[in-house]
This record gives sequence, C-alpha cells and structure tokens, in this order.
Amino acid sequence: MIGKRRVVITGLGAVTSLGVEVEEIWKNLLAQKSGISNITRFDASAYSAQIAGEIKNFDPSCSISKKDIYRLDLFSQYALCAADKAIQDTQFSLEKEDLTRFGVILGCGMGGMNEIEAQSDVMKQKGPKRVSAFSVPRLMINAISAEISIKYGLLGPNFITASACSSSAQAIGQALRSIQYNEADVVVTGGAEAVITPLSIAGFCSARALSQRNQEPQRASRPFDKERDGFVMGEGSAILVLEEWERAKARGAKIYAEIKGFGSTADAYHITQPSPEGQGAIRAIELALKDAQVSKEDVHYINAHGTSTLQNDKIETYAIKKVFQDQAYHIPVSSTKSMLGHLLGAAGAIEALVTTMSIFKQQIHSTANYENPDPECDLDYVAKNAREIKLGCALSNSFGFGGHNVCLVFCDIEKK
Amino acid sequence: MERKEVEEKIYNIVSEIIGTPKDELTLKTTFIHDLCADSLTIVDIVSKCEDVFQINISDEQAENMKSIGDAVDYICSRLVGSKKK
Repeated sequence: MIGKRRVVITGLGAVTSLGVEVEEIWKNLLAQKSGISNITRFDASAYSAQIAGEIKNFDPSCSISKKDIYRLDLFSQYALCAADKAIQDTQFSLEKEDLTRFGVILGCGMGGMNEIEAQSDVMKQKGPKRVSAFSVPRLMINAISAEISIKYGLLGPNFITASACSSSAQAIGQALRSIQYNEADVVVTGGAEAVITPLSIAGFCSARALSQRNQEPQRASRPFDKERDGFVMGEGSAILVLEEWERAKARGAKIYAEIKGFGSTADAYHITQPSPEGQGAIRAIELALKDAQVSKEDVHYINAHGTSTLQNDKIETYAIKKVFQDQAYHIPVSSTKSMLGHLLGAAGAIEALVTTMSIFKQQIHSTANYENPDPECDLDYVAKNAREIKLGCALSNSFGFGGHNVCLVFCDIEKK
Repeated sequence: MERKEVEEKIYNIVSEIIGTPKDELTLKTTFIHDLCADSLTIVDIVSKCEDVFQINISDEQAENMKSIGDAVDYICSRLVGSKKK
C-alpha cells in the first residue's frame, strides 16, 4: 500500500478585526493589539454583552464585483476576500493547472445569519412574496465553498464541515486527508463566520456564554485568567491553501509549514458543556500526535482553543496536562482569541493560520490580558510579550458546542 | 407618478441589484443580453418593482420585460390604470 502523501501550506489569506493582510495581522498579534471594541453593527444597549471583534471599514470591492457583493451574505464576502488573498499568495497560474485536482473544503458554524435576520424582517413586515430570490443562496452555509469554486473554476472535492467552533479545524483536517489519500493535489481550506447580529448575540447572551466586561472591551477576552467571564464574539475568515509536498517543491513554492496530523473526537456528553474530565479533548490531541507520528517532546507550542470561558480554559488545561504530563509545564500555550475574540466556525482556521505563521516565523504571540493566575490554569500562557522560540511542531486545538473536538499538528518543513 | 420618476426608480433598483452604475443604464438596456442577468436576478428586480410601485407583476408579464424601457412602459401603464380606478 502506498503511504500517505505529505501536505504543506503554500498560501495564506485572512480578513479579521486586526487587518486584512496576513503580515499586518501577524504584527498586530505580536504587538498584543486587540480587535475588540463596542458593537456598532446594531444598537446593543439592551444586551448583557455589548462588545465584539467587529471588522471595521471592510471593503469587499477589492476582490468581489458589485454584482456579486449584492448576492453574498457578509460571511461569504469575508471568505471570498480571504480566498483571493490566499490564492494570490500561492502564485499559481490557475489557467495552466488541472483544476479537477483542486478542492475547496471550508468550515462554518452558523451560515448567513445576516441574511436570515434581514429576510425574516422583510417577511414579517411585507409578507412572503417580498422575500428575496437570493435569500437561500445567500444564507446557505455551503455558499462559501460553492462561490470560491465558481469564481476560480475549482472542480475537485467541495463541501462544508459544520461542528460549531471546531468547524474549520475539521475542514482543514478533511483537506489534509483529501490530499494525503490522493483525492486532490491542492485544497483551499479554512472557514468564515459573520454572526455579530442582533439575534445571534442575543442567543449567546441568553446562554451566558459572552463576557459582560462592557466597560473594558479590550480587556474582556482574557483566556486562562482567573477573572475571565466568557468569550467575546469575533468575525472574519481565514484561508489556507494546502498542497501536496512534492508538487509544491517542484514548482518552487513558498512553503510556510507542513501539516502532519489531525485528530477528531466527540464528547458524547452535553450540547454546550465540555465533558468534565476532558476525555474528548485528550483523545483528539493523542490521535493527532499519533497521526502525525510526532513525539510529545517535539511539540514546542500549543495554540489553544482558549475561549476565556470558565469551563473551556480549565478543561483544556487539564487535557494538555493529561497528554503531556510534566512536559506540559514547558510548552508555551497562547490564545489568539484574547485579541481577535472568538470567530466561532472560523476560529479553527484563523488559529491554524496563526500556528502556521508561528512555525514560519519561529515566533509565538502572547495571551493578552493574562494577569491573574488561576490555580486550575497553571501552564505557561505566554503572558505579556511575544517570544522568539525554536519551533519544530505545534498543535492547534479547537473544541465546539456539541462536544466536537479537533486537534491539528503543524511542523517545520525541515523536520522529517 | 410621472414617467421620469418611474424611470429613475427602476434605474435605482437595477443598479442596486446588478451593480451597474446608473449612468451606464438606458431604456434600451436589456436585462439578459446587456446586463447578463440570471433568472434569480430578474425575479429579484421584479419583486423590488412590485414593492416600490405597489403592484403585482405576473411571471408572464415579467417574461415580456426584456429591457428597462419595457419595464418602464409596463409599470407606467399599470400605474395609469390604477389611477383611473
């Protein structure tokens, strides 16, 4: 039997509250800048949570025609802009490629919430006949993978994974498998989410999931800190282009990192609470390490799920300690959500992108707002400043409502 | 409503939905040939016209509206008709 093919990352693109260019986002994360501020998208004065990581002054016209902007929900606009940047970054000449070997596998948690809420208002106010003919293509969760394939003519595997906050990590794992097992040579993967909407924020407020630190927006997302009180909603898209290694080498592509392992499990416990012993998370990490054939000693960084909720951060810490034992105390762990907020279905994608950049740059960003130690969260969370470190392999954890756990393993390409 | 006002409103609707600048639209502009409008786009334009002008437009009538001028003619005739009533 022919072994699994190696897979590398040759293109990155993102649209976030800290910028729309990967280098700019990276610099902002290293400088511990926050993308979180008061909600301006709608009047949030009646909400218990009034802050979010909104993308301000987003201009989709750089990548999308006016006609298409009208046809797309905001989450799809983010996805198309990020995909455009990532595909440009690969320096492919698509007209010369066999596009039947190019797939698009993306993750999204909630789909076109802006459209659902807008058209629901139209229906209530003006009746069913006034609902837009574009409502379904705008709101359907698979709009993002479909629109990217249509725009670039990509004819390979094309679908969406939906597992709440681990959706796009799940997508990246499936993209990895798709190339490893020769179903595709290149996969545009990642995810998008845009749910800073009245109904969605209200739902998360009611579930008591969001931070209420409204007076200090930039200090509200504080993963692993004792004073954490919930997550802060973010939005955006991150796209990674995965490519078969030999092919990338042959064309002299810029290779950011290798993606080596994927572990995916379920808690089978509760629809929102993580299982108290973290078994699902532990198994996801162990499966990913085994899949990658990477020893625990080779893991030099963990980009945590780190939501800033009481339960997640405690149980994620516990899971890391269970897997790595004493070594856990020597592995730096940081949370991208401390600065961007929680991108839900796109969180796994932006965090995979950040983990990839960490390997490429041999630097790791800090966890913003980590100030007060919690006895139950006692690892090295990279407080205060970014670091330069020797980084062989790194993990990116993603856990979702419903008990969906994903771990991805990324390594320096030089590491065999 | 004056014919000029109907024209202006239809240009606004078409420009919003298709993204073509208003000054590039004329009464002779055709939806399918000139603006490459697909069936969903045409349905959306017709629905917006129904909403703005407070009239019903049947699918058969919509089929006959090949150009912006056709739409203006038809809607003006309907508005005159409703005034007479």
